[in-house]
Amino acid sequence: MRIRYFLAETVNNLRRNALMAIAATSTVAISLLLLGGVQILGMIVGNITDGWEARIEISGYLRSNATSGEVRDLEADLAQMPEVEEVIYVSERQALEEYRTDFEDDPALYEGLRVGDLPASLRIALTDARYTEEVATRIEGAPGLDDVEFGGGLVRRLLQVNSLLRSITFVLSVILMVAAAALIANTIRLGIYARRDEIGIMKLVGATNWFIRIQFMLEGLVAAFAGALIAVGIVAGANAVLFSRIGDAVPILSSAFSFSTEEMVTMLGALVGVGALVGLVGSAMAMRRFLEV
Amino acid sequence: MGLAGSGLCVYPAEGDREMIKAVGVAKDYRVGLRALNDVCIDITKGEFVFVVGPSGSGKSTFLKLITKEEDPSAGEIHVAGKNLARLPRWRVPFLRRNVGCVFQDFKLLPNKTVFQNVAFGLQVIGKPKGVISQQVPQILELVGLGEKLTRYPDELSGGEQQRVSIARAFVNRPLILLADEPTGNLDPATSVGIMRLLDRINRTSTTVVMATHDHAIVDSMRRRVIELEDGEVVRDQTRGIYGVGT
Repeated sequence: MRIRYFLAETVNNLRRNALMAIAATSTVAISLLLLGGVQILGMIVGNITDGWEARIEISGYLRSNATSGEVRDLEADLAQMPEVEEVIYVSERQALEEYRTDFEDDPALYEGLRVGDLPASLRIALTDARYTEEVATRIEGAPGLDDVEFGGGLVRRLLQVNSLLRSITFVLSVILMVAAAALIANTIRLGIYARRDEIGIMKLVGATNWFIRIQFMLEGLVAAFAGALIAVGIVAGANAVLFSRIGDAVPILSSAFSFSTEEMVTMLGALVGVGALVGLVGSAMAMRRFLEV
Repeated sequence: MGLAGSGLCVYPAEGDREMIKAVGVAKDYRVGLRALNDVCIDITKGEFVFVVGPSGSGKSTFLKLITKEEDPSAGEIHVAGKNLARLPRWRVPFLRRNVGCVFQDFKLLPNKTVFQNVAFGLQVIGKPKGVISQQVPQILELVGLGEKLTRYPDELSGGEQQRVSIARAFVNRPLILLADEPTGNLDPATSVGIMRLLDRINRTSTTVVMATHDHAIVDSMRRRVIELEDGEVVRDQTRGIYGVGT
């Protein structure tokens, strides 16, 4: 059977050319480990920026004489806007209680305050912090609404910083992906170059190009896959052992270092996919020169 | 017989015994570097042909045209009745399965045993295991290496390595065996053994074309001799010797 021949020959060749196989496997492992590291960094940046943005909200302070009809209309208007995630009504009493909890340690600040001194408000959470300014201007001056507050320039600044951070990690991961692919392809090319005589003999005795290609692509795939598994094992191990401890030790970082199983599995799966693909395509490309004639 | 330089080719009527036919073949590697010029050669089935001439006279180029490692710049090459110019790329491997090749430097894989080297030639053209385990020992017996199946090439003498290489070229019973200076690296006594082997292969009605500049061998075999000089056929003799002038 052909398939059995190919598999047996793949195992034999990897063993016979162990040094090259180890070189290819470790190159893939190291490259993908770096790539995985940058992906983790990207996920951390994502967690941090998402956390910041989740706290951005618009507070619409209501006039003390606003009628319940006006408030209901405003709530209904907001609920219709696609950018609005949630609208919460904060009564004068709730506002005072929140104020008290915020300044618990400093009773002097709230001792004299009574219900009614702080206005009731609508707290508006958005689907995306980008829309903050737009939504705020849209509801400004609505009947019953006294003042709209959303952090203004600070929000704008934060959004700029966040998008810059995300772009940097994205560019970094693209650069690393290209570098990893080039590195792996080069190692594979060296391995194939070392065996060009073998390819020459295969061609000489009448092996078809596909026969030769499949053999070398299989070997590239196996070597790259093994490397990818090593890289994924290390990243997954670090996630299980290290990252949760960081969160426990430094509570402020715990949200930054908590990744959902889903995003972790997706990322690791992508690493294996990239590794295997580069092994396969790298081998096929490296072979091209030696298959002519 | 070709009339060198005349631009005219005289060749016998086409028959199914015709194995290799070159009609007005020229090969330029670069502009101004002409390796072959207006070569007309007919070789029939079962012939043993020496191609002689000094280095650079075009012997190797002629052999490379037969395996379609190179394409002629002008003229036509027919092998086993097929015009190679019309042979699509993907069919070339199947052409090569009918043309065994032996080289001066043996071209054996150093990390495979004698058996594996010969078996490799069958494996990569998809021959089943049963056929391989039967044919390989048989052919190695034929070339006189029946006892050395598990040796590695560097444990063999030059003559023995060349026998392995001949076994690999012949194990698939090709119609044609091309040998490019097969005795070039061997001493005269060993060369005689190799020539006996090639002669034996020729007797199975395999066409053998051997490029050489070994006078003694050519003179002792008394076979057809085609002499090339500067890429042109200057002599084509049925029972020739290497030549007086060289």
